[in-house]
Amino acid sequence: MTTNTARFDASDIALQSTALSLWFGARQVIDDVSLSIPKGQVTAIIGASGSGKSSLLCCFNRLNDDIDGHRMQGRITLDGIDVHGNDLPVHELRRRVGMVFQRPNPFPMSIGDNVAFGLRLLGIGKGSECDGRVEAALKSVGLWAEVGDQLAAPAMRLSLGQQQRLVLARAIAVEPEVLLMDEPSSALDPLSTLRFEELVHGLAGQITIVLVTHNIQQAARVSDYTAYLQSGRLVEFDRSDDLFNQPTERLTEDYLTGRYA
Amino acid sequence: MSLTATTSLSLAERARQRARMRSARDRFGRAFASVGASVLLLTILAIPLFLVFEWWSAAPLGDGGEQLLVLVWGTLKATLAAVLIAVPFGLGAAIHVAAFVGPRWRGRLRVAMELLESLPTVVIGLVAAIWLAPFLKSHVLALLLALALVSAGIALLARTVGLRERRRWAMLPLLMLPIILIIVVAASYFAPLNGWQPLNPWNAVVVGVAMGLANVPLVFNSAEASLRRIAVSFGTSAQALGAQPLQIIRTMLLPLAWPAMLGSALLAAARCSGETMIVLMASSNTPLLSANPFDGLRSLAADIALSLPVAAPSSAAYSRLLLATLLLFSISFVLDLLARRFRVDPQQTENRA
Amino acid sequence: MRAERGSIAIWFASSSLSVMLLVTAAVLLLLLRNGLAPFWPSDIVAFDVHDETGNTSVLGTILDEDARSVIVDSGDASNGNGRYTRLAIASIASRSTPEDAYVVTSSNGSIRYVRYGAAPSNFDTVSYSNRLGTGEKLVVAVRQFIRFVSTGPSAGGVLPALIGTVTLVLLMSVLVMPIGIAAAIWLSEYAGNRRRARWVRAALTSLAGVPTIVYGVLGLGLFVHALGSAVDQLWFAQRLPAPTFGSGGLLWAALTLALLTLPDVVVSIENGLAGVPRRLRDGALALGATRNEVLWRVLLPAAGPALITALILAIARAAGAVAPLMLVGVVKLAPGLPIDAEFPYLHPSRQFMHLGFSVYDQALASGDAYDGVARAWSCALLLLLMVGLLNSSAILLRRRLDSRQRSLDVMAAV
Repeated sequence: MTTNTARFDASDIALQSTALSLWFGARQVIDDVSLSIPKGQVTAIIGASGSGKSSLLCCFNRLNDDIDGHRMQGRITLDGIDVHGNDLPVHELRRRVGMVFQRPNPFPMSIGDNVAFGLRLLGIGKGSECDGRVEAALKSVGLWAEVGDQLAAPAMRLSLGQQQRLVLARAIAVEPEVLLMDEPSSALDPLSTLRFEELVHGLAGQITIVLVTHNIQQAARVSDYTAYLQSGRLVEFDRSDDLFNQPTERLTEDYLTGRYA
Repeated sequence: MSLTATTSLSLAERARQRARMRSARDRFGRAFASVGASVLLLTILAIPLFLVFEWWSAAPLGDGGEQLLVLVWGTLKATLAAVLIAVPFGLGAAIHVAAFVGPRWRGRLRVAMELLESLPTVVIGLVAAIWLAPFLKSHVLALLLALALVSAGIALLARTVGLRERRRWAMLPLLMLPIILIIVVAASYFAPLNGWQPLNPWNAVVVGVAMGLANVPLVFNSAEASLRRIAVSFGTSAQALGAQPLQIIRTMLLPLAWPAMLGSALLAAARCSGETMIVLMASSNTPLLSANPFDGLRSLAADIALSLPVAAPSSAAYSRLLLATLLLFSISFVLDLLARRFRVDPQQTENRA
Repeated sequence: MRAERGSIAIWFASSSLSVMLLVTAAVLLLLLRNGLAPFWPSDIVAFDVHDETGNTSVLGTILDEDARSVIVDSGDASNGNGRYTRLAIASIASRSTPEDAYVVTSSNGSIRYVRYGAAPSNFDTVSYSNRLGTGEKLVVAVRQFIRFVSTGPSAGGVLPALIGTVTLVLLMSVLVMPIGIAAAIWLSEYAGNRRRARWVRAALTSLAGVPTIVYGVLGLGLFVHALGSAVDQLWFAQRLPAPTFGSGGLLWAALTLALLTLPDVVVSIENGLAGVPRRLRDGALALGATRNEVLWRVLLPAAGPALITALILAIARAAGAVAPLMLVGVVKLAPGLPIDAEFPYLHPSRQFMHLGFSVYDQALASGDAYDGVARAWSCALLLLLMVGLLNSSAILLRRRLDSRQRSLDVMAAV
């Protein structure tokens, strides 16, 4: 039933899962998913809640590893390298594959320390290089103009929309190749959501983006490719224009037109 | 591209350079944590292993066995006396607070209980030995009279005054406070009653009262947490059905909560069986195999504290004390284990509430 | 109105709460009164006594009085009969509180009650107690209290016990915190739900129920006898057979208390770590932090107040634990302080004095029963102040922590 109508050259693929299955205890959440995420594009993963979107996303940066009873089969590669291999320590994988969560999660520190957090891990503690990178990251999410003069203020004081852009800047600062976004605008108001989507658009090209969303309109607005997931299975993966206008699978069509039960 | 290609390269390069060092540090951190856990595990294993090993290699016991029997008896007697005081008062207070008291006053009452709980046992022992023991000796009959009067008064009030609202019930202890105070003070000044006095002021009754009252907060805390959890789970629906608070307590709260209450009682017993300072100071430490509550006693813990510092290693006395420690450890361990089978962890309830 | 069935039992339950409130208040008042009474200057009473031996006069303060007799403290060496005199009420012809009587407290703590004539000037303090107003008495009381906490036993003070207690709990904190933090980290971060984790958790709950005296026995056998003699053989062989570490001392006592408080410390630190929201941990991991880095850079700083609370509660518990110390190095009278100006400043092998042990020792084993009991009450009050201060600061800290946590959660939940 799995169809994968989009085909890429190996060099165009950023992330790839092959025959991926995932269990939490006895419950299977991902069932035999093979998916190739194209480089420099925005790929949306849509599906009803509980369809395994977020779990799939967390496979890419191995954030599921700590969950009790977690078991995985299949293979995931980043740029052709196995993410579970010895060549790629998990912390290095996570630097290269950044993540933005559903709810903004700034650390209880100052704005500047939040953005510099990832840099400090790499030994760029303080000084002009660190300041320059913090400034660049904040500029790329449009926060520099708003909070550039109050980097020492606690991050918790920002509005939710600003917080979400702050954690985006925090992720960008360590120069990841891929950014995973798990329903990043579900906690935001419409205006902040719009703002965030523009940012995602702007980042595409430099960074590969995988966006999990249950908002079909958002997927259609932002993404270049879309994958539809149902009950842990990949139903359809195609260019967003094609998938939204003429889905080849009946299940996809049902979901898009709201007939999904 | 806002981030230039040159810095991008250098960041990835730097990450690669540091990767090995960071992994090593991570492994070290894990090892550090593991050592801490091992110390914990070793400690609990060390206690029984050490005691058994030492006792095995120590001198033969001689005729110390009989003495140990007296000590075990003393421990059980003191524990029983304390539990008889701690459990009714602790459970009574817990039932009242869980059933009637709102969050604000519950917090205040808990502070009062924490205050009592935070008293070091040596301080309680001082109060028991220096103040309570002579007072009880000279006022035994007066206090018994006061107890009877207070009980009769409560029964009378319960028959004549009908309280229907929760809020009135919540205020009841404040009403009873001056009544009880006046009766107790009046009875203790009623001198003609002091005809009979126990021979030994430092006896099981004194130990029971002091250690029992000191452990009321323990019973209160653990029982109140589980009672409240049960009360919250059905309280609102029962009230919606129009049940009276008393009906709720009698027909639902108490039948459901008895395992938790039993657990609290066992917990108090476990704690009291190992308590040293109060018994040491208030029991006169006389090794007697007597059931009379007005006789002195000597507990395992007190015997260890008194005799071990003067016992030469590898003597028969030392060996006897090691066996006493092993016995004490086993008694409190078993009681504690039993208590845990019934008890609800207050911390858990706290987090859920 | 007829009462409902079963309401008598509920009345009893509610009344037991009143009893507990009364008991708490009574104990605290008793401690306060008896602990402070020794500092308050009491009236100096002059008795004229007629008995079969003739007429005598006795000068001193009243310690105790009942229907039959009065017990008078007539000071040190005022007559050959010792310090305390029991006078039969029937034999007392008259009593008065003369204005010209005064009490002389010498620098070695001995007390004399004197009447008539000018006070000698070479004595430490002279006080005409009967002439003092309430305010002046308060000044004297404060001065006596300061003297009590700032001098050694030879001058009637408890300074060595105070220093011993503080040094002991500080050394214990230094020992217990690293182990406690490490064990809590292991449990909350690495253990998961594996068999070893279940064993460690079982150990944790069982340890909390072990009687304190058993820790004392463990400390004596394992630390003092086994470890201590090994240390002596290795490094202090020239001083043998006199033990250095082979007898009870500060280090072994601190280690014993560290084991005693370890379960509580681990549980409260673990709760603190568990209270840090999961999304902070995930956020740091997703940025490429190793677990170790997440711990030291995010979790432990966020759980900082919980760590401090755990430490304070451990200190409060350790300060009140006396029984195990009786086996591992606390003494009635120590020749030297465990911490002083002499190299190496901290003396971990020395025996030490302790406030809690002084309470026990002075109350039940003092050579001078009246004076000993009075000092025991004061020591108890001092210990209570120490423990109470620690506990209330922990409660305040916890309350602030709770409200901060709540505001964090509210902000995130909007």
